[in-house]
Amino acid sequence: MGLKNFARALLEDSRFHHAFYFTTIYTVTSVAIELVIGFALALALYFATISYRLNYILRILLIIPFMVAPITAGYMWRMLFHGAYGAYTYILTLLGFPRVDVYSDPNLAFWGIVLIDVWQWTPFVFLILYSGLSNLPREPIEAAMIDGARGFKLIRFMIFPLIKPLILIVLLIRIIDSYKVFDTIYIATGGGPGISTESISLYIYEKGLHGGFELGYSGAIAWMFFLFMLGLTTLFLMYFRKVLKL
Amino acid sequence: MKRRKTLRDQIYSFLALALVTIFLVFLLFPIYWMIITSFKTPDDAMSTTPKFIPFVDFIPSLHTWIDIIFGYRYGDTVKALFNSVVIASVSATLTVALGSLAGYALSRFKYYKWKNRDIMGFIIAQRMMPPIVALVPLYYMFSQLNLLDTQLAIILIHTAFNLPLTTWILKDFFDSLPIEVEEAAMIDGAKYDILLARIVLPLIKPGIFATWIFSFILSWNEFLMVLGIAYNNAITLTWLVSTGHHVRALEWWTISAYGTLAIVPPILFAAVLQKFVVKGLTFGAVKG
Repeated sequence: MGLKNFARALLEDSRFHHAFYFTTIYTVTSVAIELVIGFALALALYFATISYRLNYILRILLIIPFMVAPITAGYMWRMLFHGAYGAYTYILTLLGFPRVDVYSDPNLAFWGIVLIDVWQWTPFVFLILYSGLSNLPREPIEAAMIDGARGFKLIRFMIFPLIKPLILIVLLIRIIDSYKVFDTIYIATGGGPGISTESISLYIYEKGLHGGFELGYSGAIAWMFFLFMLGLTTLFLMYFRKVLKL
Repeated sequence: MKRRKTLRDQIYSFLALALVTIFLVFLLFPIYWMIITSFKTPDDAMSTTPKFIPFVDFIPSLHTWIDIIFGYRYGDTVKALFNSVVIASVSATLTVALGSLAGYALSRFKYYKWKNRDIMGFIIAQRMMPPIVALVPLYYMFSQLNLLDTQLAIILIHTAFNLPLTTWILKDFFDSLPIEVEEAAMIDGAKYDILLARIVLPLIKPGIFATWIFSFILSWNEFLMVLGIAYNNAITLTWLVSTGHHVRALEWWTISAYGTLAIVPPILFAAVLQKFVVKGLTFGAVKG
């Protein structure tokens, strides 16, 4: 009786399973891309020493996207990739690609959604890692440079170990936030085409408040989602303690 | 110790900045596109060869802006703008008021059994919870209270959701104050209310202001709760932007104008916010 909703969600509801699968793949993909690009940008700006003022201005400009409301961000990309009138669609056809609407194409919609997330949150990863880099003690790094450490070696053996705790924190925050994704998908694809880009949050919304009005059932799914996030975060924090020896 | 800049360093710096600039174009173009779209006439916006540069490709027009400010959308625009401002500023004020008390208490007192660090952990644990999880029960609760579609409901929700982060950020400010000032005032006979109102809060005024802005922006940008709770009276700007999804004939110019309005405050305060964002969002692990 009481557990009926939970059993239904776990055993029968394939739409829920798909939403869970989609959200996980989406999170892993976009967080990985953000981390790589964000770290590269942070390093680039950290080592570039043309002028302090220029660095400051670039930094402020770089972080603008994550100040923008996610709903607006999703809308901007929806417009840029519109099949008939989108600016990027047009540029892609100039480059020889066929004219498609990214957000209604079953294969491309996923990458379109990932792109929005990367657009919005790479700046965040960049900002945190850059602040971390700026706060590192300068002496060991310069000493290593004088000893001839350059490029990859310097980053791998000097900077990476120093910045590792911060990378873990960014990873944790981004994974938590990415799992919650709702706004951008809501406006860009609405979960479509079909249900191919439907995230857990979107599914709960559709089920409980928008179409279905099955408050009990969507509440049960929401509960499981919450427990899952709790478990994930706890595991992560335990790993933290082990790595950082807190 | 300062190393001499070699030619190699110079070349490296140049390449790095070029990389950053290219990425910057990727980041800023969508915003640029949205802003110029709001200055296009419908014909220009619906052209199959998109028009990129104002005054060259197309003549900017105030058509859309006049339409949303004076035209038949006047009612929606004013309502949403008014709601956005009221909800964000009232909830930011409430958040800062409650958050500064909590932050001060956590910064200056010790409690039986619980360590302050653990209490802080419980407070920030709210961030682990996806907002959608709270939305279903909140919807039910506010419908029982007859508060659906009111500003009050959204203000309460935003306050509750932004409080943990704000408490963290403000606690950090209190921690940075030397405790001796307060001790001196206590010796002179000041009670806690006087101490807070006359001495502590004025000392961290810049911090309070920045936290207020931060909280304002969080509430201003929030969409999911507004979508769940509001449908007519309490709609905000983000809600209006989201209608770009439903309307079958996408009226891009109109939605773009709303979107442009919606990004004004965040961009205005980007410089102020960056430090606090770093500190607040990494749970205080990084100093901005």
